[in-house]
Amino acid sequence: MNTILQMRNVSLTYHTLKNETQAVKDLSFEGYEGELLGIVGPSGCGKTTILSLMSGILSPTRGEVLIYGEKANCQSDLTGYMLQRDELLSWRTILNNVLLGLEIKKIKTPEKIEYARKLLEKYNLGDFRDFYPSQLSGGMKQRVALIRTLVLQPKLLLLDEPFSALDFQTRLNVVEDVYSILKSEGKSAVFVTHDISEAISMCDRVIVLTKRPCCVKTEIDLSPLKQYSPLKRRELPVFSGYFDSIWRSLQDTKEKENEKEITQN
Amino acid sequence: MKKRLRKTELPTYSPEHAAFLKGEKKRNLIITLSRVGILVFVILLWEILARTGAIDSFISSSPSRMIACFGELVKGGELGRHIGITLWETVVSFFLATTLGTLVAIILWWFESVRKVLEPYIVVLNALPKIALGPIIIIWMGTDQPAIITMALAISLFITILNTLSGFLGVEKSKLMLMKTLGANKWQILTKLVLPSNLPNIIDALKINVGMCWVGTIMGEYLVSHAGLGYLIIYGGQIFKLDLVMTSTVILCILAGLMYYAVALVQKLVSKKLNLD
Repeated sequence: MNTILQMRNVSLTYHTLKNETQAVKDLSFEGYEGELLGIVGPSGCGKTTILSLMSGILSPTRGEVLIYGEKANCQSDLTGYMLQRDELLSWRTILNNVLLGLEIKKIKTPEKIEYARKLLEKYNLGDFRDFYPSQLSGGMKQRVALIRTLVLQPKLLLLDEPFSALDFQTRLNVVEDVYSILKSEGKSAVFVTHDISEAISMCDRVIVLTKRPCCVKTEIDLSPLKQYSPLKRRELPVFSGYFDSIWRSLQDTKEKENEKEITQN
Repeated sequence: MKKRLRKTELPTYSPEHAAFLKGEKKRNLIITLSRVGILVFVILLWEILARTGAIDSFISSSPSRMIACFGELVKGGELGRHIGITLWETVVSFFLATTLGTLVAIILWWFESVRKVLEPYIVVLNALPKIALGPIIIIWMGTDQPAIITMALAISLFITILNTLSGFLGVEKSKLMLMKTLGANKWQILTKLVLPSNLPNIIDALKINVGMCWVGTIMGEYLVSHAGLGYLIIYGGQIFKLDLVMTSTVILCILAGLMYYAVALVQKLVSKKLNLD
């Protein structure tokens, strides 16, 4: 498998007037082509920071982030970022929302517009092209947001808890949709979440992070589940085993933190 | 598509819904009747009190005297000129305040350090009672329309800047993040996100501006003018002709109201067109 993402001893420190916070400390891991890589960590551990580093919105204080061997930068078209909420612009139609990225990158050619129409068509949003976001359901809007990202034809997708704003019912369905879209488009993706079961149901491999400043705690290989869809995975007997091991290592990081605090006190 | 569906559904109302609609209709009718009723009542009462001598119509005027006064003004051909002048001053200062205010707000949004430096000045200028600037404005701008428009601008400009700027700065952080992830530059963030999402704010500011510009124009006319509704009012007061004062005030009421509704209509059309809210 080709390595497409390299995090090499990445550290990042935020500065404010009152103090400085180390969000990421000496973080190293890799991502491979065609892989859905999950990143799980306790809330507030800096997961969004990691995606911002990969997309090049933030630059690391130390170390380097390489995407297809290139240093991550926010002008590049290699990565596509999908945010927690759909963030569709209410005054634009669905099609125009999808075309936003093309407009910004000044590549809104007839072919690309046609591609956008085709994607909407393919994922059952074709009839809603001229609707406004307020007329769509939450799940549909999230699919539109994914298509807005896909239209730019990124090689690596960065998904930042893209389902957390949806209710549980919708979420199960949208996870299923997004999974099949990613697989049918043959995309590599990094998927950040605090929801363990979501990570197991979608990903090929999961990296568990420690509390802030985050670094890699464990890595769990989910390739045996590859042939199953997210909903099917939830029904498998091994599902709870995976859940358990991720949960344990998350607990571990918390307990160690607590111990540290106790000894410090 | 959805709208067409709704229209075909219209005739099939349940009896409960029909009753509900009827009740709503009745309530709306009562509200409209009450509104008109208050106006008619006040006018009648005023007239009766004046006719019976309960109030002195020399200092309170009366509806019939106002109508007579209005007739005279129209006959003399003066009224159109006075209204025209005041309207012109108001509209000019309104457009100036809106464009300048939005422009300055954009500049302050763009350059954070300029904003931080200028903030206290704008706040102080906004807090200052602008009428205090009267003498300065007269001396600098003369005793004609430029002085009046300057006065109206002084009153409406700073509040426009502050309101519009706070709208610009209030754009959702997550939407800004979206623009950044798409690689947008500052100009694109301004034109594709900040301005369109702030259109309702800007139009709200227009509504406030209409009122502010009327205040400024009339105040300016009090100070320096030779014509206009404000001039008529102050002139009527000086020669103790309350008919003229009252008539001009009522005309002013109607004009200001009409202008406000015009802006409200624009707001409705724009937000419908852009599918805002």
